[in-house]
Amino acid sequence: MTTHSVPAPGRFLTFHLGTSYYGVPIREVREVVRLCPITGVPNMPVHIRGVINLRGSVLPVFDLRAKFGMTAVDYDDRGCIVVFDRQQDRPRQAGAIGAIVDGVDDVLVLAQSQLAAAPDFSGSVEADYLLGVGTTSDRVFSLLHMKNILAADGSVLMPTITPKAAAGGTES
Amino acid sequence: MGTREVAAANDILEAVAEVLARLAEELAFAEPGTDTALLPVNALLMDLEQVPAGALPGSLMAALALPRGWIDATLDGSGKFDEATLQRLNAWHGWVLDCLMSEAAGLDAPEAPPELTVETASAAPPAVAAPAPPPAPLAPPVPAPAAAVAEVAPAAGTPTMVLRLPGDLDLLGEFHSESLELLRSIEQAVLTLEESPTAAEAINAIFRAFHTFKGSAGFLQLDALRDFAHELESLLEVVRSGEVKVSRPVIDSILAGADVLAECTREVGLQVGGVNPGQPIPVPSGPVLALVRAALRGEAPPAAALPASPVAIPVAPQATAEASAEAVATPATAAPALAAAAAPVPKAAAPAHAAADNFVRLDASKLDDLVNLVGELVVAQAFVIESGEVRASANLELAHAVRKLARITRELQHNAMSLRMVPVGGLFRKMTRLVRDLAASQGKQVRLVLKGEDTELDRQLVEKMGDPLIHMIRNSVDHGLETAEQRIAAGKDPTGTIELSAAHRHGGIVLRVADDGRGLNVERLRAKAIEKKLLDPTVLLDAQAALELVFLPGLSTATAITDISGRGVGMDVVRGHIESLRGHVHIESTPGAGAAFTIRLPLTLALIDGLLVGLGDERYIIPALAVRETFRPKPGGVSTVHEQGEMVAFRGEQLPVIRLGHVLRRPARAVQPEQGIIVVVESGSMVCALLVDEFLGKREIIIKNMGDTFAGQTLVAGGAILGDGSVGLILDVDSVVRAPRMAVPVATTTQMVQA
Repeated sequence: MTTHSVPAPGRFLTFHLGTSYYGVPIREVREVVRLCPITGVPNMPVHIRGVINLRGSVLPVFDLRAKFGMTAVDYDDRGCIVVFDRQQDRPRQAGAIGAIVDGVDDVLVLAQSQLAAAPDFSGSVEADYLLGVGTTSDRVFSLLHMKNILAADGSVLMPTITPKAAAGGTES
Repeated sequence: MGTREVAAANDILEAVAEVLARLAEELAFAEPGTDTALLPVNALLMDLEQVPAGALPGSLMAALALPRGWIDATLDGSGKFDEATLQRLNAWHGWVLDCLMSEAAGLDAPEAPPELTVETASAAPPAVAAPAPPPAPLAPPVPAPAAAVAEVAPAAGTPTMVLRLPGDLDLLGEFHSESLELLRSIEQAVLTLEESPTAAEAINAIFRAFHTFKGSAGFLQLDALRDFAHELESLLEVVRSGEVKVSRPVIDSILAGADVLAECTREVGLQVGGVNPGQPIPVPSGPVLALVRAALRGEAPPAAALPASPVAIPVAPQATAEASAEAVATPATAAPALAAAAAPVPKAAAPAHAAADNFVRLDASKLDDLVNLVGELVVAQAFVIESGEVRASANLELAHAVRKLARITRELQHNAMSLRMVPVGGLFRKMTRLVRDLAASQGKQVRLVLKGEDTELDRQLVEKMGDPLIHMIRNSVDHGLETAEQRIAAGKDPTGTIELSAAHRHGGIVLRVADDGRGLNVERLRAKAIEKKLLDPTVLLDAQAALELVFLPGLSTATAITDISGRGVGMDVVRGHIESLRGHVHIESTPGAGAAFTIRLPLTLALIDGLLVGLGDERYIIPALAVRETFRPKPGGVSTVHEQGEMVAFRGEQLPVIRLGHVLRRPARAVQPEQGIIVVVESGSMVCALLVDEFLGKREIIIKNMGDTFAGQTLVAGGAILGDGSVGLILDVDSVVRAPRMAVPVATTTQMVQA
């Protein structure tokens, strides 16, 4: 998929970081959970905040603000963790990852007429991270390409499975 | 665009497969001379004709439409199925399924079975003209459905079989697990036979297994496999009747037969699991059957008849002939002949089929889920019991109920854990077979002694220890044990002994592979390591460290590379594997007297005993298996080196102090060592003092996989849900003690205290 194509219409979960509004295709979202205490993991990039207990399984959590190079804030009680199914073809939660956002807003149906390709920021904005833009009567949403966002960072998605990881894979 | 079309075609293929599966059900009810199932079959065929033109390749469309004429003829005529039509329908059904599978797999469509091609050539006229009475079959009667013809047909070479995957998926899955069990019972029976060649029960067990194989394979129309099992069964019938006595060649041929069955079973398992579905599976029966026939005639196995492993007793050729001849003649002489090569030490006859009826087969993943859930329950109940409100409550009834809850939970946990525990005996017995084959192929005399077979450990561990054990035993046979001549020359028993033992110790399990061979050649290890530039020649190593060279990647002491070991992938992989199971391997060797590998493993992978320690505001878990002791250092007990490194006295030894905060780059509260706690940890032969802020207690911990996000992270081995619901990180002690540390000069910390 090229970054300049128009996203497919459908349902989008919308959320915001500060005054920027975002949407992601709803089928990529597994659930939204309230922000809860995060256990930091040493020696990880700054945007990897750590892990949380998601109903008994350990879920990695990353900070979208840090990922986009935005200023860090203290998340208030509107803060949420959006849980993404990173690889839909994999069983259960194997590939799930959570993203911290300032607050989740709505689920919108965006029709073809409300969708457009992402404008060319000529490098000032990571174009790979955008699927396109969605417009409603009162707002413009940047639609995020979660797969690219999660994959672009080698430390987030490590496709090579080390023996240790392979051995650990059956332990959960 | 293209992908969408492919997706649509796949949907249609699936829909067609479903209709065909229903057709198979209906056809099973159909009987010649009745109209049972005629209308449903007609309706289903009409469904098939609904496939939009162009959605599937023309040949497949034509194939789907083929039976229309026959059914119309039947409907227009007697209104009842006749035998020929039913045969044709069944043949067609098998063939179309094959076509469908080939289409899904992107292969060329298989040839139509002969009776159909005859049919299509002259399709219309006879079908319409002859709403015919039964006794005018157009095609020669086919004994089995078309698939059989197609399977055996690839002729001359190796017979193959094709699984009817969409339709028979569940059945094949069952067949697979049932077959695994049959193979186990064959192997078990063979072991019994080796000890007592006249054991009728064992011979019968093998026959039952082959027979059951034949039945299930026939049921699933895996005809090549069925025929093979049938051949084995009938050829060995003479053994059962007592005409031919059990001898080593007979046992070898049984094992070779079981190997072919095992290979096919494995392939079935793979295809059921979605690997290359629809690929024809070869059943290389020819060589094995030749072997079986030779064995029954009392001959040595035909040269090159064997696919791979078992060869006859590799002493002198005439001895082989003699041995087998004798073996055929009298069972009494057969026994010693067997024992000489590699028979396991006699043990009480296998518990046979004693409690066989009391077992339930169940899906392993269900078991894992149960154990995990119980683990969650343990954590949750601990949370309840430890909550301040419950503790502070003066309500006696509540206190009573809580105690009861705790007790039941504990028992439940104990029970659930025991469900996963299996004796290592099964794993050990596999090694018996391995030693036997290896000894035979290398002309060595080896006896395998098993000890502690009843020792139980986690099923997952048993599965994962298979490869490392195989490797270590191969090493022992290949390199450790000498040939009979060498042993005699060294004044040893010509038969070498490998002892494989298991025992519970220190809340874990200890597996040990010990041989009485020549021991590891430390000099050669060293020379090899230097030659391969894995070791600096100026480095002096103590005896233990020199032995551990064997774990270096790329080091192999075998002078000749054999097909099994000596390729340089070896002990390093074994060690890595064992460490990934949170175990350790220790090596001992006495020149001329043997070597031993001792493997310490946790009892289970799912649950570990852990020490919960605090560092700053965070909590970490250190696996108890790696911990020797914890203590609070006395003021001044920690001395410094170059004002940087720190060390502490522990049982008369100076241990390097590792500040956990420095490794993890996290703030710690304890500035002076005596403000914190020292946890003495060991990793391989390394012992270190890990300095943490506080010791928070010992916990049973369920290890949670952290996912591949942290795959590059070596310091943390996993996560665990703590009593308060937050996640605690389990430290990987091996990495922590070897990790580079933040160099914080001791002077700085002292200044901080003064500040």
